[in-house]
Amino acid sequence: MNKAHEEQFRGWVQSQRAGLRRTAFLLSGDWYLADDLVQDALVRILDAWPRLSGAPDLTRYSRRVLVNLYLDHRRRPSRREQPTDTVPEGELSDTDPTTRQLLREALQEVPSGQRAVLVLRYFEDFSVEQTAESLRTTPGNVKSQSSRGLAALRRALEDRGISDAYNLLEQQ
Amino acid sequence: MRRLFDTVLSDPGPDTIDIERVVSLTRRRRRIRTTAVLGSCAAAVVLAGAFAAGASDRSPVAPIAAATASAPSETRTPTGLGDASDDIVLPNCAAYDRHVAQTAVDVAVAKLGQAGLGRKLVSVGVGGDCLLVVTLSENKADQADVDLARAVLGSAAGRVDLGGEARVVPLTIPSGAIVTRK
Repeated sequence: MNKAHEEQFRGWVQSQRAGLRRTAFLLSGDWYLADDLVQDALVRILDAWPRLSGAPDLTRYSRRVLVNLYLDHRRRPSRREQPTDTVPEGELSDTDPTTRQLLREALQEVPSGQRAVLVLRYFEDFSVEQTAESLRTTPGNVKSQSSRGLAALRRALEDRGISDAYNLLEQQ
Repeated sequence: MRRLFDTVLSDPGPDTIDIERVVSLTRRRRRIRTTAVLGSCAAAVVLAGAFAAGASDRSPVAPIAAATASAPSETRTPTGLGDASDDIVLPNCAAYDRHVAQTAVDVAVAKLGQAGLGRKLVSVGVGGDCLLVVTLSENKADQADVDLARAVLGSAAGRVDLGGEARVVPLTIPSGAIVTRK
């Protein structure tokens, strides 16, 4: 890889960095893990940059890499999340649970595969077909995962007493 | 749904992504991959070279354990003479490789030639059961020639066949013939 490719890549990262972090956070629920995932994704993207640069669907490709890295991460037993009763120090800015925190918890309660579908469909605005291609599955499976994911999210929100859960989800 | 996502994302954590690390990691991955590919190619070239060298060095000597004294191997050097034979055992044959066996044949032929037996030789070779097989012409060689051949080739354990009659004779292979071990 030459210097020109690296410079191109740096410029692309500047424009995509925030979006990648947000997507990674919605998937993982942890900003530090999100940054790790983004960094791993960037290594893979830079590795393939000579044949990727200039591709019209580079943004979609980067989200696909990110989602697959996240799902791989979830599948590794050594890295699987361990439920805990205590919140890590510094994780919350205040001791009272805020709506944001409840929403975050509710989102994390959705199974990871379904959450990936929800993030791609309703945050990244991928079509059913694009989501299916990114997750290497069928459109039918995307639709069913999406439906189940929304139902799980609705239940999780209701369990937390979020009264406008219906409105939150209906604005999709 | 968008509202939910926006609310969740409204308090982003500090950005800890290190682009320089991304670039250096990628360079390292590429270097490792390139090294692995080059290493594989070099190993393949070395193996191919070794195989080719082995093939070119391979002598036409028969496998040491493939034939018997009564069915001498193709390592015999034909002389175009008669059919009497003098079979001589190569001691510790299993320890010798094909190259050593061929050397033993060459040295034996040379020594027998120096002793004036060259024109009386039919063939010299190594049989599958580790016999150095010396065949003398029945028409041209007599018992004195057989004794001379034994004397030339030494005094280690061996066997002499002449005109179908097998006799065990002492024999030592010339030192230059089998001094090396595999």
